[in-house]
Amino acid sequence: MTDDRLAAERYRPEISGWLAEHSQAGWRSRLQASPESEVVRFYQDWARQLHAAGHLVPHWPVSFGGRGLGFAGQAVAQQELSRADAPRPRPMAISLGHAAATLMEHGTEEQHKLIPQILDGEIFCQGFSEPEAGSDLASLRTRAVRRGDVYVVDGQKTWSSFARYARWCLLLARTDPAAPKHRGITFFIVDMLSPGITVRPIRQATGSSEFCEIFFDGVEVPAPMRVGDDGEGWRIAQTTLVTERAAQMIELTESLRRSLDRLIRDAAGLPGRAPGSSLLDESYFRAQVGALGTEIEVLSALTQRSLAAVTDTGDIGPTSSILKLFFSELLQRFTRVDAQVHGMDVVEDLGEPREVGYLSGRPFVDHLRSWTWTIAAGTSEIQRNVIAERVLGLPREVRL
Amino acid sequence: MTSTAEERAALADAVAGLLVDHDPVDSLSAVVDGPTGYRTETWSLLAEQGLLGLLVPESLGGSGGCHGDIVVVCTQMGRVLLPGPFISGAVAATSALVGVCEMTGAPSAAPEELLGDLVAGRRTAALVDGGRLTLTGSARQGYAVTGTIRRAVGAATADAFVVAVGTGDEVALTVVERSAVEVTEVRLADATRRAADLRFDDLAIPPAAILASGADAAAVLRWAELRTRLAVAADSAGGAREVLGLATSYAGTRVQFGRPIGSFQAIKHKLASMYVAVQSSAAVVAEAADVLDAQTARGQLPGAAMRTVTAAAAHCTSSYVSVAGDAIQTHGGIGFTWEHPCHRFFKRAWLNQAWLGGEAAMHLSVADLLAVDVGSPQSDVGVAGARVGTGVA
Repeated sequence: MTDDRLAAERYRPEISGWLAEHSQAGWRSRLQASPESEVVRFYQDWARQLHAAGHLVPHWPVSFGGRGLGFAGQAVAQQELSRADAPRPRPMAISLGHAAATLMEHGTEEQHKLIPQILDGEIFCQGFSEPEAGSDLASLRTRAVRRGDVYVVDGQKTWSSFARYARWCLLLARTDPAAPKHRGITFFIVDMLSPGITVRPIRQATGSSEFCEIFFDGVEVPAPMRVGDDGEGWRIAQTTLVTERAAQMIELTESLRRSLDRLIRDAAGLPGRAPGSSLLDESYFRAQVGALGTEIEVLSALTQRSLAAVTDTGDIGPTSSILKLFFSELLQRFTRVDAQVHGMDVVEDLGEPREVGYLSGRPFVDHLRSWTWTIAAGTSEIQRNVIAERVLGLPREVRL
Repeated sequence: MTSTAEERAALADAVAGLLVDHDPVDSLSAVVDGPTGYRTETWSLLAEQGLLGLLVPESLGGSGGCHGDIVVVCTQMGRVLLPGPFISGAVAATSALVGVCEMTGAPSAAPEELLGDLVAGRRTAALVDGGRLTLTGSARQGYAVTGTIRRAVGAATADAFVVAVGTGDEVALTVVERSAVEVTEVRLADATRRAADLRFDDLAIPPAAILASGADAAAVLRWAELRTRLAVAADSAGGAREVLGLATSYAGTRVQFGRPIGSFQAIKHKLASMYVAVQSSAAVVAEAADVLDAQTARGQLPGAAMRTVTAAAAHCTSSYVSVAGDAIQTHGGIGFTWEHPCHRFFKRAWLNQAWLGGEAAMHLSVADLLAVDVGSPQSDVGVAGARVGTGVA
């Protein structure tokens, strides 16, 4: 075990002890019944509590407010939050993850001043995808034109989670239309209170509306809010995005494990075909449970071993593609079995589900939401392209 | 003691070098048609390198390797489709004999002598499942055994059989010489392994020949079975990686419609999925080895450890079956010819999966272990403690 991992293990009892004392029992059902703005406030408060106790960002460097425990510490915190079934501050996923990592790695001293806001629960949203730039993100058309001390931004972004509640937006915009498409993109941090910004929620298939469209109409962004140089946006977005995504995997694996245990307990209480028997006595169902249990075991081994390699080498490579692909497709299969066992109960109207984690315990919502995993942040098809081209060395797609 | 990552990498290189020099895949067809179905020179080399005694402690004359080492070795053997009874002998039978020798008050010197012969490569043995044989008598008075063990992998060329007779608490372990039973060789689709049907005709097993019985025997068998699952899983992970390599290089060079076929997403995505199956197989089998290496006491195994090993076996064998099939598909017609090695990987994949009882049985086993964990009752149809494994116990 490396020193990093030893230090992280020494930290484990502290966070697990704290979580045991600060249990938020019943938080899911409370949030399900609350308006979305209250849900967001709940998470912001919870994030502040976690930070006050030193458990929000134990992986960050001490100079930015963390404990300096690195990736291994992050993994431990995720595991313990998951085991305690504690709320995860989802609306702050971008702030705490991608935004913070980008600021720390590429930000100026002036930009570092945003980090305390992140720790105070401020929400960042992501302005990457556009209606005409999904999988082909680098073809994005939102423009930023330099005029003196500002850039003027015009365009439209989409699939931006919690943008309605966001104070800041991580924006990718085209600054050089003449450059090859990956090289003409620049990274900005935009104040969501700027004149010219309109946010419109998008109602999703589940009935909830965390996603938003953002319209930029002559929005002025001060030049000091540019991250990196003109034309470096693509590279900056890629490096931090990939690492952040991999870090989530520990938590996701744990929550799948817990959900399978829950499914087994549910099934023991559901009727089987023979009088007095339970669904768990049905061999077809048991084989399904065994297949899912097998794959969760595999995911866990794959996650732990690949992330240990990342901790040791610092190189994430295509690991995040493999993990995301394996996880998201397993999640889809798991939630499908989970939803099927509940018969007609599962297909009742979903209402407007609240963001309470990837496995909320509402099987049909969870199943439907599993598509956000196979689509968002690079579809399964894009991940397969990445693996085939970057790992197996197969000829690249024809790109325009 | 477990080996370090560096030691394992060195072991992998050494085994790969040895096998590629002495038993390359291109000469396979001549070897598997020979009298024993494997190269005896290779077997001697394995003995010289201490690989036949890898799982035998140094105190019993072996090399005292760990489970991580056996994964490394079996992965390399899987890559070259090494013919011969390594898993049935050097893993399964050897583990059972080690278990017997490590029991306090070992009954006789016989198992230790046989073990010495196996480690040195002087004789070979196979662990076989006699659970369906008709048994009269008792462990105390001795048994009389009648019936046939079908399709015992590795038994065709073995000099002796380590036999598990009886079921449940009544299980007993004994060694039966080849001459004591009627051996009918069964050729398998996977020509790299040979099986036999073994007919027992009222064979007497005196009390002195019973090496272990009851809970002791069950514990010994469970370890042998888990190690067999681990070895078969590793063989599968290695074979799958190799056949993926064949398919990938073919897809990169075969041109149709004016482009390498590997530039089409239909092929590319298939290969990417195969790669995920291969990587995840390697990860879970390594994890399973670590889990076994972390167990200090021989008797009791936590359910979580058995679950990881069984999950590794289920995943690696079914991934191998899928990857080998997809490799044939990627190669097109050429992959369906006898000369091309694809079918040999495919057949070994099927043998591996069938050997461990099939995918459904392994899944049921994982489910039983999970159900116990969450405190749900055992099902009547479940197979916890059932014979998934070597078909042993």
